Amino acid sequence: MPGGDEAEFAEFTAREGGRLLGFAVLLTGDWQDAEDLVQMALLRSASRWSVARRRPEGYARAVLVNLARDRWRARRRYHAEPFADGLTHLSPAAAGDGTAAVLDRQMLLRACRLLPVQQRAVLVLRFWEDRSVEETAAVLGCTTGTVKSHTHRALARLRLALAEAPELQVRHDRNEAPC
Amino acid sequence: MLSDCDLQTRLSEAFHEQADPAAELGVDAAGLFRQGTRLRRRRIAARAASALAAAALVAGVWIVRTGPPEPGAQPPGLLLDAAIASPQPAAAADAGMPPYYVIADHSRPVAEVRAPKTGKILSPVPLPAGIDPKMSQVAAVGTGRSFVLALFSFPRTRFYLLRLAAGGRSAHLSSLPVRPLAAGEYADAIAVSPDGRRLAVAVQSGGGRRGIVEVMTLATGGQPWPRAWVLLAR
Repeated sequence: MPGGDEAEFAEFTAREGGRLLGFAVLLTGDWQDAEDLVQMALLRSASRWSVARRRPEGYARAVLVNLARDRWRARRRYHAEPFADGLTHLSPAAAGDGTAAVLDRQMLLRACRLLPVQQRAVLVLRFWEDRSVEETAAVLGCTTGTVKSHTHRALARLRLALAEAPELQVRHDRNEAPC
Repeated sequence: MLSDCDLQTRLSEAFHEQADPAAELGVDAAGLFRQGTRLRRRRIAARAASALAAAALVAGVWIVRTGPPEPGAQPPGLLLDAAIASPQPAAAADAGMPPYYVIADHSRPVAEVRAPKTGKILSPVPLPAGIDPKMSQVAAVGTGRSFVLALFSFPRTRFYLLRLAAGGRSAHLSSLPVRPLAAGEYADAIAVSPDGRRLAVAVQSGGGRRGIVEVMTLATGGQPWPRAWVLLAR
């Protein structure tokens, strides 16, 4: 029943669109890329709706992960810059407020972008969508063991990357009067 | 060193700062669904067209290799029947490689006669002016010392015979008395029967939506069977 399918798809898009967009943003680190990928993922889901309708959330996310992986492979050679660039120095004025915490989180997000897409997807599903290991495995279509190993490796790599990043320092510019 | 728990907490905070689950996604769901439906139909049509083109080619080769059906005999109605190729004659298997092969240079209107063992060009053969070498088809005839070429020159595809002599270093191209394909029809593949009397052409038309296999006699250019197989991709 095409009309019913279309209504069902529209309901799914309205219900899950925001979460899919957030998922894509965290996978790609870029809003425009994320919007492109979500549109493409929804289009592919619509074109195979008879299959996707059984578990559309998982289907759309799996498509998103594949699309993000393709894009990451195509672009990673251009993203070799150190992830901590521009985030290691604070002006004295900013040192007192919450800016340091924001920069710290930005550095963490940038470090996440160094991870393979599958590991990033697992982290986002676990710690942004608060899904259990079993739910994450169901969404990504893999085993719980794979989810656990991806989580473990991703956290280990993040910890290593953060340990190697330079400490946050307060920078006193020469022409700036000390507070 | 951060513990797993600390790192997970920091990750969760960073993720929630970066992306809001309640964000609005401004897409036209109905439009996307209709576009997806069209995409699915195109995908199915493309697969069906590929399958039919492959089946048509197999059937054409089978017809050429086995000759016309006996009077009163049923034509092969099953693709499975058509896919059973006749075994190669023992003599041909013993003969090893063919003496020459011919390819069309895609960047210029020239056919190249080459030696199979080395790939070396034995003789370049200028093709008629105005042909598009990218749309040419080649099939060997009999012992491999003659070749039939289907050459496209807008708006028609015409057929030529290339005879080789002097160890492949001399070649003569002449027009074949075969009806050219109609405008809008293109030769996807050609094959010649072992006795060199029949030519099968997989013809594509309608922008790839329609395909037929035409079998023609090289002597007269007529179609020996009016029973051309018309295959429609829907």
